[in-house]
Amino acid sequence: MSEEFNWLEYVEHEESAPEPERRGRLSRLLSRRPCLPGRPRLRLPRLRRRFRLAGLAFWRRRPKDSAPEQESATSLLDQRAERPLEDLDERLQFLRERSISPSQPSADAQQALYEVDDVLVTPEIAQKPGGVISAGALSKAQRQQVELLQDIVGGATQAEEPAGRRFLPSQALFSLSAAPRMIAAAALLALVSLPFASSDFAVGALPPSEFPEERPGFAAVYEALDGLTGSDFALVALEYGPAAAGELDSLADLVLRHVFARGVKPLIVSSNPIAIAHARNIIRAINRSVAGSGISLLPGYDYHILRFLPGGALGIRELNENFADVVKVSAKGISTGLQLDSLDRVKSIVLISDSAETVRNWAEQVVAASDNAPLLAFTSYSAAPIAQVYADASAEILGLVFGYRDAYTYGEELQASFGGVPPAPANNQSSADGTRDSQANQPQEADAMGERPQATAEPAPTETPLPSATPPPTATPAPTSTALPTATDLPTATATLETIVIVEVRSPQQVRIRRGPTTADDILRLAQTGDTFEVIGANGDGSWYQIALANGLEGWIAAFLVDEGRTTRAAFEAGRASASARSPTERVVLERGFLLSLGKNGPRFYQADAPILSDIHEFVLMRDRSQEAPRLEAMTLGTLAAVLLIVVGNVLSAFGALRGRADPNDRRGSFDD
Amino acid sequence: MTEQTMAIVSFVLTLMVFSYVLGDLPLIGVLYRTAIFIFVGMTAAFTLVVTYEGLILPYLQDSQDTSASWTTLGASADIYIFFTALLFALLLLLKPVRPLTWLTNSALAVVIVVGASVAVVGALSGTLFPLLGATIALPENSATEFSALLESLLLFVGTMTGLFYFHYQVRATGAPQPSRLGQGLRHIGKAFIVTALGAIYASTILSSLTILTERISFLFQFGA
Repeated sequence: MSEEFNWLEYVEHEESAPEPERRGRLSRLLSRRPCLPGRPRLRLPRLRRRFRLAGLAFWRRRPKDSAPEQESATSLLDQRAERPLEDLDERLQFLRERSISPSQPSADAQQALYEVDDVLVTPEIAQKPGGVISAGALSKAQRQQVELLQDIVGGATQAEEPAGRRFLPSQALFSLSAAPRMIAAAALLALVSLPFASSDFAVGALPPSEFPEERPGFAAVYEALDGLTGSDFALVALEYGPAAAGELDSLADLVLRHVFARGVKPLIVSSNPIAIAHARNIIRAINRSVAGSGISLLPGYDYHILRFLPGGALGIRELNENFADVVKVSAKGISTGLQLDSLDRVKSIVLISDSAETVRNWAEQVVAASDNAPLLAFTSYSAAPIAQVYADASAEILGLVFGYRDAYTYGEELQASFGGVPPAPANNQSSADGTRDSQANQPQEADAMGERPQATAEPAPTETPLPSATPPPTATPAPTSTALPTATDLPTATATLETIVIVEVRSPQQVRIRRGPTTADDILRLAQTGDTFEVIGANGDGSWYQIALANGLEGWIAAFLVDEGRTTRAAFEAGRASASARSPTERVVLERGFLLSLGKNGPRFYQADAPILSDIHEFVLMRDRSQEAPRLEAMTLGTLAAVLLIVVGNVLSAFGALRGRADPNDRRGSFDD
Repeated sequence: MTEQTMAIVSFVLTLMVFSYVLGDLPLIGVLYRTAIFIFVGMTAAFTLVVTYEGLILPYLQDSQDTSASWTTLGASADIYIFFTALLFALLLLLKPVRPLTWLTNSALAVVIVVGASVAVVGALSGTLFPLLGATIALPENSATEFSALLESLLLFVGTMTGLFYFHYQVRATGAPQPSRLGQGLRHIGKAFIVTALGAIYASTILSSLTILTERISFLFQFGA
């Protein structure tokens, strides 16, 4: 142990050594550098050191008669030179603690993470209580603001526990000092829980159902998203982690539903790797909600989750500078097939963030760096005050939507916009007998009754005549849940029946038609989404249909990729002729074709982009709204409780201060502390 | 993992985090810390996976299959970029080796300098100039000219007095104490700053309440 370097002893030794008064503070600081025993200290040449100190000394020289209590730059520097241990960087404190008690176990999980917690995206996780998921977690910037606030108002700063013992449990099973906190927390939890337990505790009015006139930016954000069409791209930046998911998921859900409903493919990016995983969860939840209508969003086709942007502001800058490269790789590391040369190809940039710093990064690195698409900001309450400043100052930031109350208003507007109109027949979302219309109306009826729409309960109609003269089918055909036909109850290929069984390709990607009912058989051709074929048979277990091809051949297609229906032969022939005349696939290929790579050694071919869809009402209508009102009422009660707790706490503190003044020896609660 | 299993896990983890309400006690506190450590571990692991899949893997694939290059620079340039990044990463790993710490510092210096340059340029063009322009311009969204003027005046007073609260200059020899006017301006600036920080703190409380209600909503839905 004698050979080991002891930081504490070294510092004490240095501080106890007499220092000549004429020696500059900077030189004393330089001389305090630690050095290992037995290792010669690096000393600068005398002449060089003299010149350097002479050059630096003049601006640090403090006038002898200036008031030391004033906040001058010199006094601030002087304070820094003799700062207390608590002001040391946390890392230095940790090193000091370890040098004092080297036998302290280092296997503590938090200590093990000490070296890596800085590189994690959510540094709050390594901090003191509050933690990541706790509602009271404050970011570093927020804590600094609180400390500045305490400094300004003169409030006492709570003493921090020693760094090495922060996560060690206290010895007592219960401490009376913790009782007020527990009572306050229990009261808050009870109050916030009441609206969920019973509707009798509905307190406060719900937010407005229309955009407030005093916030024109709110309506501008909605209109910008509503003006997107199927040929546009929207860049959606999900810049929040799980700690803010409870607040911002509702906004992200609404934005994505709005974008999907307009038939737009969102390009989802993030400088937070956890947000990339969370984006999948949000879209999975949207898929679950619309599963009853047969719609299924597929990655790489209906949306793209792009690769992680490392480095915070650097990553965001890279997105702006090298957009073409960023969009070419998905978060899974595979090619997206997107060929977008610059950010100008994006019609709208949507930023959903829980951090004012992230808003600032996007405003500085994307909005200010070039003439890109307008930025639509969606933030949490905590980031809103700073984000509002940028929204007001920059014309490129169209507006700001923040918090759960805004999410409610946005959802109401969205519901009103999509709720009163039946699904658009132009993209063949409705079938000839209006089946899809009735499905779309289901959630409206459910909402009217205050019930949650059942997304997956109702099976689709079994016999859905396919359109005969309508535009070509789309990627979202009607669902089928009928039993697969067997070979015995299907018509034969030679039979000439008025009603025939057909299948419609529902897979959004190209489907292979094979020579036999196995994947080992040769591929005869590729079928596009919406192609229809007459069924002439099926294999034994119904997993493959035998179909008639246009050129007289027969092929097999997997049953799970198609929807089955019945129609008349005349209607079928007319519909096929109509679709063929328009050549929708070729048209789309010319407009928005992209290279699809199916793996390293797989086939490469140009695939038609998604048929342009719009006004897919299911995304908006089949949204779970059952918890909206209770959450808003719970927030109202929680706000009241928080205000009450703060007032009571301040009153108690004031009493403590008064008592401290009455007794000079008792300074508990004194504001002078 | 089924949705139901995920819901159960979420439910248990939520309760474990809520156990912190009872305090950092020897037995109950373990639940809170366990949940946090699980989250820390998963965060670190997922960060590693995402970084590998989204950043490193494409470079490795490019080095094997030049025809699948996804950058406009070409496969050879990708390889150079990849090995430069790899070199920097290796230099960072040398940090524990004391004689070679300067190598680590060199790599860090590049990252810090580049980051600082980007931040400074962005701050000038994205924060300083727009905010200065907004401060000296009349607000556009005000209802009347008078309210716009009032709002602008308030903004000006708040900015100037806020700046006056912080003064960094070295006082001249024999400088008198701040005048009453100066002290008054500082107090006004102090009031603006306290109000602004109070608003931010109130917004943070609202955020916390929103998150709390979402978790409680989840618990009730799970129990229903």
